[in-house]
Amino acid sequence: MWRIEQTRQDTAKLLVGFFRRNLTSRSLTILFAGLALWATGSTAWAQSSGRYYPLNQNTPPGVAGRWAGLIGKADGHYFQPVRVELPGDGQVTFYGAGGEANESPAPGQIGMLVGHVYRFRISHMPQHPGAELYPSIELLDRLHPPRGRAADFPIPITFSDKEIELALNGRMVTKVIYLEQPQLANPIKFDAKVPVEVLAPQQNALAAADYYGRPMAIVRLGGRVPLMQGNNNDFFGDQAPIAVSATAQPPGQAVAPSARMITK
Amino acid sequence: MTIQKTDSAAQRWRHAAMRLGYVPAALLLLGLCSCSSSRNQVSGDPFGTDTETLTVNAIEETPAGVAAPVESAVHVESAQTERVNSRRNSTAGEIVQLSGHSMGTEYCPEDCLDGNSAGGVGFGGGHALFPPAMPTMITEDNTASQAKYPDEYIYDGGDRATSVHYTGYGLGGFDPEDAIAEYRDEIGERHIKKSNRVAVYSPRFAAVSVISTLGEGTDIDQAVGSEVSEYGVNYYNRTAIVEHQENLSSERVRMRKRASGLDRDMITSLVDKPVTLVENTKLINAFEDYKFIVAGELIQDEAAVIGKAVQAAAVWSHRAYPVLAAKTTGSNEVYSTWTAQELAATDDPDKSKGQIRLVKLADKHVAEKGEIVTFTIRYDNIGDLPVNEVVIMDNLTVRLSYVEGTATSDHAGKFVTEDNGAGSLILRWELDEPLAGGEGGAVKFETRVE
Repeated sequence: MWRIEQTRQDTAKLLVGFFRRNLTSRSLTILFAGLALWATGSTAWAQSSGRYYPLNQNTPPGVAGRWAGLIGKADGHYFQPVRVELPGDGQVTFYGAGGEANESPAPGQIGMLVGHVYRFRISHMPQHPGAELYPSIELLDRLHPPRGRAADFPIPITFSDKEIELALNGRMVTKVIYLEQPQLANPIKFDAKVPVEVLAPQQNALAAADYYGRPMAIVRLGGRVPLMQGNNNDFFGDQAPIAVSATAQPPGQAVAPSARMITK
Repeated sequence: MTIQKTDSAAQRWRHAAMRLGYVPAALLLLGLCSCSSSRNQVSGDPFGTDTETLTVNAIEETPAGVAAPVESAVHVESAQTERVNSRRNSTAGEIVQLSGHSMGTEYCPEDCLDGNSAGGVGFGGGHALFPPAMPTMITEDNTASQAKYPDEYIYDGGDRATSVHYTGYGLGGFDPEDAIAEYRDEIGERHIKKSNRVAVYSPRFAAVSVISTLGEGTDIDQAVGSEVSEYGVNYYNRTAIVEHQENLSSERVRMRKRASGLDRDMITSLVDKPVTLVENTKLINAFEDYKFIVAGELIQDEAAVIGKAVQAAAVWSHRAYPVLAAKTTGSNEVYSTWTAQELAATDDPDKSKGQIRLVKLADKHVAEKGEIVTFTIRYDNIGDLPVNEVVIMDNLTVRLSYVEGTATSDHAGKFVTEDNGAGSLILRWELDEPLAGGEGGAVKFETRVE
């Protein structure tokens, strides 16, 4: 892989040198250099649908969320309810701004802002004694339920025993939760609340989710834990606020008395 | 359904004031304008984030069974008015919404939004278009939300994608979600009427996942940026570990493509049977049945005939063409068709043709997975003359499973279900008796949200 990258860089350098020697216009040089780099280095076109997906599951956390914000999906006043469900009993701890924690028995539900990355902890699972995992959620979009029913329709984040086992054994499980398009709904009846389709590692999970429906969240489950000493600010994501009540607030309105926001 | 995006007066004043930077004046104007226009402003967003004004022309494209403001119920013309209008113009069969104003923050209480408090949906004699307490409320909020975010709703009814039509072998374009009535009018012509579209808020989620191995301790940025070859070997080995994950294959692959429609399976009406020529027997014609022709022997008795034929053939070798080669006598056939339409027209010209209007209703506008949603399809003959062979059909979407044994009808008939080829069922009610003018009925069934 590294050698391939090196070859691409060499090719690009040769092309840039050629145009720099032969063309006097600097702008033309830059243009052709860009085209050369694009032609030699672009690998994201290999989608069966023919669409270009610049993002995938390997994109650093936060980029997809920021892009979602740039295209207008982020709403600084709306807390999208998110519900974390474990295969059995356990504890779910959400971390808001400043690392303040909100712990509740599973399933845990919290309101999150679209466009941000949140870290939470799952622990006290009887099937996995002593295990503590710190998955992250990158929220990409929100729902638009009837007024007053937002808390009844959270984005479900589910973990299976197998996924937890994989994470404990050093694997990284990256899931893209998507809202099914009704006309493309899977006709197979599932018992699971969120059926999961496992893709090959080289496949683009974001592109697949976009094909099947509307990507809502990227969930990353790995074995990384916060440092015992030192600065963990990066570990806990954007440190964006969370809404404990997980109820939606229309823009410009005050937070309901029952809601308690954890902010800086 | 027509959506017109218009800024209200309050919005325009608000924007102008904010541009000028007169914050106090803007607040004052905002207060004044919002007070004066709050009862007429229609919010296009569930949370009031935009100012779309929604005009609904026909209930065919609006959901029934969804919540509505108390004072903004859909006005449906009465049966009598509908029949009169059907003669006046040709828009019969559609329910016209006369008004649908949102009344600011005045909303129906929670218990009446879901329609559960309707006290049951019972259809009596059939002449009443809508029985009392029918959950037919519509909100502008939810309608706008459906238009913007249709993937959060389950739809049933209407005529999605290709319109339902007759093909040479049956019905075409009868897609999942479609609900129609098929009938014959008084002159025997077949007709199809679609119902309105019902929307139930029920988002469903799924996930795709990728399992990989963490490249802990590998500084990828340094590897890409480094041009020192001895490090390259080291990094290449680490890359090989990452490539090891390629061996993980997906657990399963599901095909998500399915049939968009269903045609009836019928044998083709025309079957051509190719006939192969087994042998070719040359029959001797009467004028050829001579020994000379068959065997090449000239006998005395045939000499005169053969000589005459030779002479006749010689005629064609000269420029003596026959004057009249053939005479064609054609006859002009006249087909006379008498249709029942002409007979019916002489019966009573004042009576309008019978036609079915189909209205579909749901008892919930919000449902979670596993919940039961009861659908009611109300059908009425809004003409004066009877209609025959009435069949009500509902092609369920894959998100709705029919609950066995829950289908009911207030008219005698036959109920059958058949696979729609897309993971759900087609429900079919065939009424035994013709439906007289002004008569109506209802069928009802339960579904489980998948």
